[in-house]
Amino acid sequence: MAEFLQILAAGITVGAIYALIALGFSVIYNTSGVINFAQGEFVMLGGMAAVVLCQSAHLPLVIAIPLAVAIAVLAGLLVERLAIEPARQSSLTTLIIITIGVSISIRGFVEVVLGKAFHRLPAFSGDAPIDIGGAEVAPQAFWVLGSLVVVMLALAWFFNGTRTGKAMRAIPQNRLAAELMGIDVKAMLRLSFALSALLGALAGVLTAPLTLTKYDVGVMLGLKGFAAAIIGGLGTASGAVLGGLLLGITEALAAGYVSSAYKDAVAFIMILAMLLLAPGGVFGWRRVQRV
Amino acid sequence: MLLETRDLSRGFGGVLALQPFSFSIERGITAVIGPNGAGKTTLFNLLSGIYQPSSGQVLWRGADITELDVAGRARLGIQRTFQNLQIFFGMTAIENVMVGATQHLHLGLLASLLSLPTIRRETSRAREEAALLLRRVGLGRYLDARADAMPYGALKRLEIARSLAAKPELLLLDEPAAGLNPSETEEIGALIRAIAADGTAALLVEHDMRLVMALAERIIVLDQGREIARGSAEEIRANPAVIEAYLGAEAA
Amino acid sequence: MKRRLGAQFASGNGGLVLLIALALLLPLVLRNNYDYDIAIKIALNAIVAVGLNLLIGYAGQISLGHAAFFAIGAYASAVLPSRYGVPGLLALPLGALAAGFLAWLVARPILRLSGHYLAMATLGLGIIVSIVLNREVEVTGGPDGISVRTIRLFGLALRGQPLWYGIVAAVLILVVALSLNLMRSAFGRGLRALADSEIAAATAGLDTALMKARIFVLSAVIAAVAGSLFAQAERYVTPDEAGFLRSVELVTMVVVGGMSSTFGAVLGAAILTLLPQLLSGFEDWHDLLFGLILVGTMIFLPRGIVPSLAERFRREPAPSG
Repeated sequence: MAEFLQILAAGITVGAIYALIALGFSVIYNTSGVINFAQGEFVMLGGMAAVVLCQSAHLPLVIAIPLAVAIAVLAGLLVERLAIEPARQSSLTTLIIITIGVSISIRGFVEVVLGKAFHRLPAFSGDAPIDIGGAEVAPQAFWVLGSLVVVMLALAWFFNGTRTGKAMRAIPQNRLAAELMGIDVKAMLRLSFALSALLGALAGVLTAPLTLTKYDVGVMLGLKGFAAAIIGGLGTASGAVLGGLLLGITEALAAGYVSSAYKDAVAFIMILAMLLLAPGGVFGWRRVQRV
Repeated sequence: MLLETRDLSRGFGGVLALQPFSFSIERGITAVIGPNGAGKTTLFNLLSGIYQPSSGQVLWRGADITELDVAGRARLGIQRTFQNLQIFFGMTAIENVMVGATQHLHLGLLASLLSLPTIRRETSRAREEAALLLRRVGLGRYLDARADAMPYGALKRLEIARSLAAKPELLLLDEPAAGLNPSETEEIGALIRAIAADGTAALLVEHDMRLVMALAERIIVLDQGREIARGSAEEIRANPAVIEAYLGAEAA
Repeated sequence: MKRRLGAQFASGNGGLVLLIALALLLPLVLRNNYDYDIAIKIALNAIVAVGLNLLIGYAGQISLGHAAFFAIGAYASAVLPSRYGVPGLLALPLGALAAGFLAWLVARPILRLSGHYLAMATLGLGIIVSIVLNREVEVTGGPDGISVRTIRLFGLALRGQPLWYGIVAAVLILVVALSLNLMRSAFGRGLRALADSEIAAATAGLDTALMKARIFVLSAVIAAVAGSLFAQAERYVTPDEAGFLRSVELVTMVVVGGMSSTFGAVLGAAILTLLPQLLSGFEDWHDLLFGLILVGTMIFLPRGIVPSLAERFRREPAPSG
């Protein structure tokens, strides 16, 4: 039983990370219909920036983390302005390839500046494991879960309660109408990238103490986050979270009970199964027009 | 009797876009008219195989083709043009028309890779026939022009040429005169008349009343998914229900 | 005369002659085995790129997992002879068959998807294959890879980079010729049509699902053949050949060189294979430059280098028939 709880705890923790990344995908997709294949790099930037600020600049975590997230947000804005906006009239294939190119560029940049080594970020509140029903859970896990809950509440408030948030939701339904109502669509797109980068960087900072970070962690994390978004149903926040948790738990169970060698394959097997059997995802899928 | 529908209907999420509708098409020119939202496009999509009906049947020469897909119906001899122009913009005019003739050509992958003599002969013959068709619809000067460089009016005729390349028995024309000026409209009318005179049956959906009255031997009027009248041009012109439907739509 | 020359180039024959000339003359500048090796890698990438271009450039689909098919061919040539005693010459067609079979199996369901979903499905497929190759250490040698036995033909060992350059260049020329043939046929026009408007292509009587599946399988088989040749020429195979990054590289070659241009694919392969060579000493910069080239090309030359240049030539006044 203890073993099961251990696995479950690990699965939920990593699932929460996937959920955050998937939320990032959803935000951009919901606003612009674009799938940002560079999402994983925002995750990486968050973690790596925090590490650099902590280790090289010797800043305390409390300052390093928000600063790292800010750096990632800045990167997100740059990406939107330099790579996405100029290409908005392009075909879907072109946009997909552009975001892939962006992800390679960001990764390449970090590779040049920081090299290929692993880095570790100290855990937020220490490493002493907490015992839950026989399972040993790292305190960092609670930070991860707590952050996810806070993020969900914040997003719900933002998208349902603020004018800006509601405006962002209006765009994909009918871009022309949104513009006529005075919504600055370009600004909203920029905001969506900034928000998405924030979510990604947060995930990166939260997971870095648990899994170490290096210049190419973004690839797999991004792909798995995307997998989670598809599993839950691209375009819905609850789908993103559900997909993330489902993926995390399934992965952990597979690794624990079936074969740890094929842990990474789980996400992609689930994607294929989902796409071939129910492309709408668990929660169904909102058709979003590209703006 | 070429094409027939029996109680053909189509609903979308609880709303019947087309209520059970029966009619048949023979040689000559038939037109379907009606205010916006009447169900004309739905009917066309049902006839060409893009939509599956919620109920009813589509028959071709007496055989049930309701389950048959778009490509299957094309091979039977049903062709269609599109209101929103589904031109192959990456290709030249003559290539567009050549694609129209594809069902009569060999599509073997291996043979194509090896460029066997059969393939090459077919290609040059297809090219000749396509050139003829383009001249016939008045696009002789656009033979090797890229489709994305051609004017709108020419593209409308290009689509017709492309569908003629398939040697159809029935041609469904979806708003062939949409966006055309009066002289272009007259030209397209003459073209349609010539096509029908050659033996191809034509069914058109059109908003341009003058064109419809001038061309159509039979007219069917739809309004809000229902048929409200059917008959010759004179009968329809004088039909009070039809006038009501159009005036009602305009007043709304 | 100029117009006729232009027409020959437009139809591809001119380009083919140029390619043959290039392939024959290149050995004059290749100094040692290392140079030949680079030429071999360019040609192999070009073969895969030409095949992939049929799928992406002409048929308008996308595949982010094509490296998997390349790797299947490579591993077939590596594993079948050394682990199962299959003769080396037979391993190539068997590898191509395996890749083709896998492609056929997934083609219909996957190609029903479009856009992002298709990209994701092909990506997922590619990664699963790459993971299997990584983990089945018994069969594939795992992450360390596996060495390849030299083929013997009539008692002669097929070994040496100059020899393999000749073989690979010949295969490239063959694949380019086949690709040109295909695009001049009704099937090729049908592919281009379904990329522009699938509904109109269906209305013209084309079985679009079947055509997409066939071209997917063809491009997979071509990739596998290149993979087998790679295994023989390099004599060592690792699972990196199947990875997502490698798949992205292949797509980049097609896209940068020119979608819907056979020679564009060859050019793209050449440029991107040479890139790391030009950067020796600055390996860390490779990824960044690669990414910037990709983004830059997509924004400024979205149709790729060759079609964009061809467009510029076409703008010059030329009377049409």
